[in-house]
Amino acid sequence: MNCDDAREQLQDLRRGRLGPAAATEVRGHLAGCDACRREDEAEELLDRALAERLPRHPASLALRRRVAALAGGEGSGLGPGAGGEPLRERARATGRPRLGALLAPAAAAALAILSAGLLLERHHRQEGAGLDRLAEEAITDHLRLLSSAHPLDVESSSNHEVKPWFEGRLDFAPVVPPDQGELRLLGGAVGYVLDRKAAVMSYALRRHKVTLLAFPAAGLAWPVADRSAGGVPASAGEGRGFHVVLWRAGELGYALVSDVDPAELEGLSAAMAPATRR
Amino acid sequence: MRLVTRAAGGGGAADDPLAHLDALHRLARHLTPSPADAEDLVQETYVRAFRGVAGFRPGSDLRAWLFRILRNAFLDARRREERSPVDLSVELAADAPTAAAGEGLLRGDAELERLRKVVGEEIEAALRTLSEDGRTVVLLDAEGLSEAEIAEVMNCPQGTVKSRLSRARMALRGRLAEYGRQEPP
Repeated sequence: MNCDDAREQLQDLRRGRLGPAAATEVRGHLAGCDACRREDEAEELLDRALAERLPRHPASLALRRRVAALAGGEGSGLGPGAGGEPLRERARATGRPRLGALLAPAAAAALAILSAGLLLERHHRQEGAGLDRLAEEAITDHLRLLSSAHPLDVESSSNHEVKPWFEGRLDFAPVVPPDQGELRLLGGAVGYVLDRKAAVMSYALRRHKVTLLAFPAAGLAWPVADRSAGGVPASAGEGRGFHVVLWRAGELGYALVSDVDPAELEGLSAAMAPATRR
Repeated sequence: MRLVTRAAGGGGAADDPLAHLDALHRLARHLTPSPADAEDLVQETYVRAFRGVAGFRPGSDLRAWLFRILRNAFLDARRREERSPVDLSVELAADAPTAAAGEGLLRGDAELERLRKVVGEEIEAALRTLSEDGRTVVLLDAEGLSEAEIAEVMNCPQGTVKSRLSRARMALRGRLAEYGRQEPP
């Protein structure tokens, strides 16, 4: 074995990936070659430096709580290795863990969290109950914006600045409604609704946050309209204390989400929806 | 000693998505310079994971799956920002000259001595000089992922992982040696 061959296998030797014969051969080479032995020691020292001296950066308590909140868990008690049980307990309480038993433990754990409240997509498909899939997705996006440290990609109170910002970042052109009454535009970001990119527009209404999502509606099972938003057929959903109004404008779908009173949210949608159809 | 023991087997905490929060956050902190961005990246990872749970193959490695989601979310965010289109082949090439430079810096016992003295801040600084590919492969290896798992995270052949890891570690040693040469005698 020459030095090149030996050095190619040093990493595998240290990681225990070599078979007995190959390991013996490499060790034999190291015993007789100072340069390769030094190389092996340098790599071992680098391993140790990375393991023992590189800052470990544990997740903050705030992040643990945010992730737990996304998962619908209790939050404060969540720690490494301890996060699953409350969620699983909660999933059991909802009577929806049976499918998880059919999957591998990893998928079951993930499904338990899924069942516990973040996404009810599978639940809706199978049981046809609860929140509409789009409304739930819109609420999740709104929550993500609320809990994000850097929620907006562009901060501006002018729709003439926010709308052009989306150009080139999306393959559609959303309407960005301007301020109306007490509603103030804060800015925008690119996000996702289910499997597609979405324009995310953020507003403030007094101390409440309001999110408007615009996204391509093709291929989505759109809820049946049961109300009017300023003359535009619309539907509404709610969950976790938030309210959602959904409407279509050509090829785009819009979802307005907030924790404001549902009547007030419908009033806002009545002002916005007609503008998005122009 | 490894950063994290090879816990990812069947059953136990390794199969709980939330048990990997610290490891995901650790990688995120080394991918993004801002602690706030790192937290957003981890949060985005879990949102995507919960959303895509149906795509998780039972029996496959949950930890590698989560790391892959995190890395993809990071690359997506960079593309969205359009600071620079991500061209991994170009990025990877950026490690090569460093590796070559590392060959000629501190040799023999001098390098060993230097590596014994290196401190955490220097390792972090040296990691930041690597390409994203280089940083990721070094950190995932340090987390205890196998070459097959890293290949799954980085969506590349296992042989590519081996060469990238070797090149990135050499570049890292080169950087750390440079810091040693800058120290006052």
